[in-house]
Amino acid sequence: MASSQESDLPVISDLRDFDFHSGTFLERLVFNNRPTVVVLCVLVTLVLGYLATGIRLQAGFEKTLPKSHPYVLNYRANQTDLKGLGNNLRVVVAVGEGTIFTPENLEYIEQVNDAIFFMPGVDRNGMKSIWTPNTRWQTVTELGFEGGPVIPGDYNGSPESIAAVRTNIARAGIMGDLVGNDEKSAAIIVPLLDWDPETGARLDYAELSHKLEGIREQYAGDDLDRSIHIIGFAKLVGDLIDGLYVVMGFFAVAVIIATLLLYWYTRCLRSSLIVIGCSLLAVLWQLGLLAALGYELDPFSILVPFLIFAIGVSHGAQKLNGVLQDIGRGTHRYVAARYTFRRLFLAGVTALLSDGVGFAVLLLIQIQVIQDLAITASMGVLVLIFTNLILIPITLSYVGVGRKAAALASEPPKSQQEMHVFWRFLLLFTHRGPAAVAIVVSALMAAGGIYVSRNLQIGDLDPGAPELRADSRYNRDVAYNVEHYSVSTDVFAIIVRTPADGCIDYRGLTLANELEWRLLQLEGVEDVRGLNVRAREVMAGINEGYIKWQSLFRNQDTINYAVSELVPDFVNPACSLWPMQVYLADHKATTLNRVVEALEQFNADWPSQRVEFLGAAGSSGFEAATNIVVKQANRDMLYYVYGAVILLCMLTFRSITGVLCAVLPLMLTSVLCEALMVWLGIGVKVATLPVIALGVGIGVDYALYVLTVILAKERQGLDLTTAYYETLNFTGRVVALIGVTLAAGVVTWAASPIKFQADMGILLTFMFIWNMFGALILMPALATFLIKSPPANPAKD
Amino acid sequence: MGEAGAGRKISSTPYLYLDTSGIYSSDFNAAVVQIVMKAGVVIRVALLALVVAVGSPARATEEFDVLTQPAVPSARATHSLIYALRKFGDRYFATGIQGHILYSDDGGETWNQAQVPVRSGILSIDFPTAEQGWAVGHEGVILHSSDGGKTWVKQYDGIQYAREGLAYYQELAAQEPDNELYPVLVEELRLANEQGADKPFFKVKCQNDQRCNAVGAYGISVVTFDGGQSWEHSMHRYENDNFNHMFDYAPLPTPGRYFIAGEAGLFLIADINQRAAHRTYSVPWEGSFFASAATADGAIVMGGLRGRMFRTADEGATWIVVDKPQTSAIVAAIRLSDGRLVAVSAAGEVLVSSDNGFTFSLVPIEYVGPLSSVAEGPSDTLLLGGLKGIHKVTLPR
Repeated sequence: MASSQESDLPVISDLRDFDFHSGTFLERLVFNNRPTVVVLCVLVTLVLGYLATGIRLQAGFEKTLPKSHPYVLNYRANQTDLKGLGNNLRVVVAVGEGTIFTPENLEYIEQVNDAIFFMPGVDRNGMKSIWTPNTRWQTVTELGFEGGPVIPGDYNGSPESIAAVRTNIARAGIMGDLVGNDEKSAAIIVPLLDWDPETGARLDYAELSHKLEGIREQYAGDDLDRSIHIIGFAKLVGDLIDGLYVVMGFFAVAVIIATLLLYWYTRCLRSSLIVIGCSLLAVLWQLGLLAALGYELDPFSILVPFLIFAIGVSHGAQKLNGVLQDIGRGTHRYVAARYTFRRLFLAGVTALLSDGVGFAVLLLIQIQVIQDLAITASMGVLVLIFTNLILIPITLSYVGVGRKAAALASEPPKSQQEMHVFWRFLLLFTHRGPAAVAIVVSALMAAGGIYVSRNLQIGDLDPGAPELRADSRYNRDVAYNVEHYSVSTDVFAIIVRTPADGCIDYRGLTLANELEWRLLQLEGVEDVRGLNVRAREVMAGINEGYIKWQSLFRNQDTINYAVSELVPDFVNPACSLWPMQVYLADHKATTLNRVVEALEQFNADWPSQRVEFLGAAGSSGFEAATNIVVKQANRDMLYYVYGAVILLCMLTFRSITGVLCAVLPLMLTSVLCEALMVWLGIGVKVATLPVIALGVGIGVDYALYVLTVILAKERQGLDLTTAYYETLNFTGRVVALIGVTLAAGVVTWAASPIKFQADMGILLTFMFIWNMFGALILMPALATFLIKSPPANPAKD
Repeated sequence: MGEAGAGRKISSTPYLYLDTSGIYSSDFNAAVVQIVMKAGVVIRVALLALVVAVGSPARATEEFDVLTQPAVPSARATHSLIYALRKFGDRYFATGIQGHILYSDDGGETWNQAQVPVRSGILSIDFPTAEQGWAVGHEGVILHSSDGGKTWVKQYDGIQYAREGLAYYQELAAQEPDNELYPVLVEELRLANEQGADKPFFKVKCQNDQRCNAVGAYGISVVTFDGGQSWEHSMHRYENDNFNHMFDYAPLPTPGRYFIAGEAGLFLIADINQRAAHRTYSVPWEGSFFASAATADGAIVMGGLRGRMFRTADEGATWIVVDKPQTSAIVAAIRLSDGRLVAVSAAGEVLVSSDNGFTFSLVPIEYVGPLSSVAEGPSDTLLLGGLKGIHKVTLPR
């Protein structure tokens, strides 16, 4: 908290007049050993800077899962058996004119197929397309099976051989799977190896993604008539990592905006650069610490450097402000820096710690990325104590500030009438009439916000991969697949577990059939695939392909034979675990809920010792679990963060009315933020949880800055208007600067290719700005009514 | 088991697997269990014990069985696997998985789902009169309707088939110790009793509302003379030494004469008055026959594996190979009211013959997925049944 005693310290223009033994122990320790402090900081910077270069980018999803939800526990318990059931890429090669059934187009598909075949990380034996020999047509004859690859060995591009290809594709039953329903494209299924068999290195998703882009560029880059659509987990992760690089670029933009703001505020380039530089140093240290502690930068934790930088600049501006004013009054730069440290160090630590509280409550949410965010952000705040509360004054004590800037800063404050119209407008709200208007308008907004936010959705609402924007290349590729093929990317995988060798139990499989059928009745369920479905198909397959045989027989020999054909693609080798994949039309929470409820109802209706149907894996299974946890956490989060903030305000103000003045504006912002989410179609999800905590945790800073000063001034006997007038002169402008700087730090995120980062950016910007206005308008308005003006005699406390 | 849910179990929790369910039958007890479920596990177990003590009739834990579970009304039925499509009078029938029997009185535009007491796949349906009908299918199920197909009762299933058949052939074997077939059939049925209801009936054909034949996998066959009150084993009356599957049972032009067609070129001529069927060895084909249609000029066209089709004008004595493009297996064939023949293939191809089945040609029709069945729709349309349900397509003239 800013101190109000700016004029208590004597102006000392000659260093020889300064008592070096004055000040706190910490101040003496730091300022009497300036060279040591600087050298230490340089050393720390070198070490942590070196470590920071080793920070890894990561975009996996495991950490975004709610780790203690039963679904996630079930998945983890069976992870090894479920693995390999899906790390596939789907590359669709499409032609614009005509169909794929021309010599040129078939050759084109073959070229792409071959290019992918030779990519590292590809499980070549498992690759499947019309050009791979394992894609066979088969027909049953009176003599037994007859079949061959869909592209016959004697294929020569002649009309006859193309006709044969067409027939074979029909006979192989791969329309809508490997060949688009409109015959304008062919799909290549590319299973990936987690480990490179030659080098033993882990699959590098970013590199893989870039190689795929290379293929896309080479084969469909400048040809408008041809296009390649690539989907699959690995490509998604690759795109997310690319998105992270873009976001890193935003950091530069945020730095430039902050520099300009600071320069505009101080008119001193030298000191502005020092503040920016020290804040960047904080980010570097923080990254170095992250790398040293084994953390990786993921799409969530990359938020932290932005926040740390913005908070750093805010506090740096405070320090700078003090130094400027002292130097302007004629104090030597060293003494000015030391005065500022003396005045503001404790206040700065308190403010930073209160930010830290906002971060720390995030630890209570049982989702790894959020906990990581809490830890890394708290770490960053600690770093700021060194770089911004200590190093900035030290550096300023060496280099000083611009003369003109100092003169500007120390100009006597203008009278109320001379103030800029904006500040005079703010002063209005200390009068009963305007204050009442502000409160009524706020109440109406709160009521409207609560009304609108009843429609707040849980989970992600857009089609395609929710991590990316609906119009991203990846999601357009998903849309192409959904439109032209009988596939869906929203899969809820029910884990079907039996005792060893129990997967062939007729009773278990018939229960699976029943569950499958129940799920198919649900709105939003498009298809169900799994061992039981495939087994029925194989039953027909081994009986001359006659469709009337397509049923689950209760003949054990037949089941044994059918299932033996399906190991290990559809069931693990131990015959004890297989995924029932429920393909959904979307991943809206209502759709997921229907599946979850149907599964629970089924388990309640038909408990069995032969087979368990467990939730759940697959993207939608995890989303369902996440939704359940997030919905609960969203409420908990509000309780925790407001509990912490109220406690903090209580300690600071020691009055209920003070707490109300500080907290009610924050609550209005929280409500309006939820309404904004409804309006923008943003659902409550992992990414929005920290937003609320951060918005409130940092938002309370404003209240602390403004209200403490108002209360102090009032205690000095000033009426509210004058108190607020003096507050605006002292910290008000800084509050505005902080609001804008914080917003500038995150507003760039709105352009992130990663959807949830954009959502976070928009919401945080809104909260930072709106909290600022809340502190400057609603808070004094509330104070007008809630805080009793002291008796008229100006008594000193 | 008429009421849905009457046979269902009332749950314990899915995680504890306290399989105390199946003990309760009354709604009252169900309500008690509902309340108990909300209490803690300890109280739950205690109260369950109390409920048991109070005296619900205990019965063995029941497992899910398609033979005892009634079909559930489903909006998805018309889009799910359809095995057979037939038209009797003005009413269309479609039968499919999950005990689906659908009927339509408006030419296949809208479908109603009949009440069916089982969830077995229904493979064939026949209505000798407007009211009396039979349907057969997987698990050896035979269903009967006496209200034109709106509601059905189960008359027979594979478990009954195995049990009654064993006794029947044991008795015959005892009566005729010299007969070599009976001991074989006894052995077959002994196995069937071990496996349970594991064989489907593929076809039901009724001569009138009293007499029907059902034939199926591995040569299983039964006949009723009393409208299905009792079904008699008739396997031994058919010359089917290899127990080949029997897919088709249809009338020949001569009254009283029928043919049975099936796996490995099986073609039997049956005289229902003599109650015997004899194999015709003149068939130039060793693959399966799945489908047949009678031509306007009194011949029979057979279709089967590999898309092969054959035509006989003399009740199987001589055959010619039908001239047609290569297709996948022919799984259904019908004669239209204008005399043309339509055949459909497993891969979704549709063929038409305008010369009484001497030649067939492919007609361009929207691909609707693998097919099982076909029926003539109103005004130049076809109803196609298959993997993705029922489809109405326009048939070019």
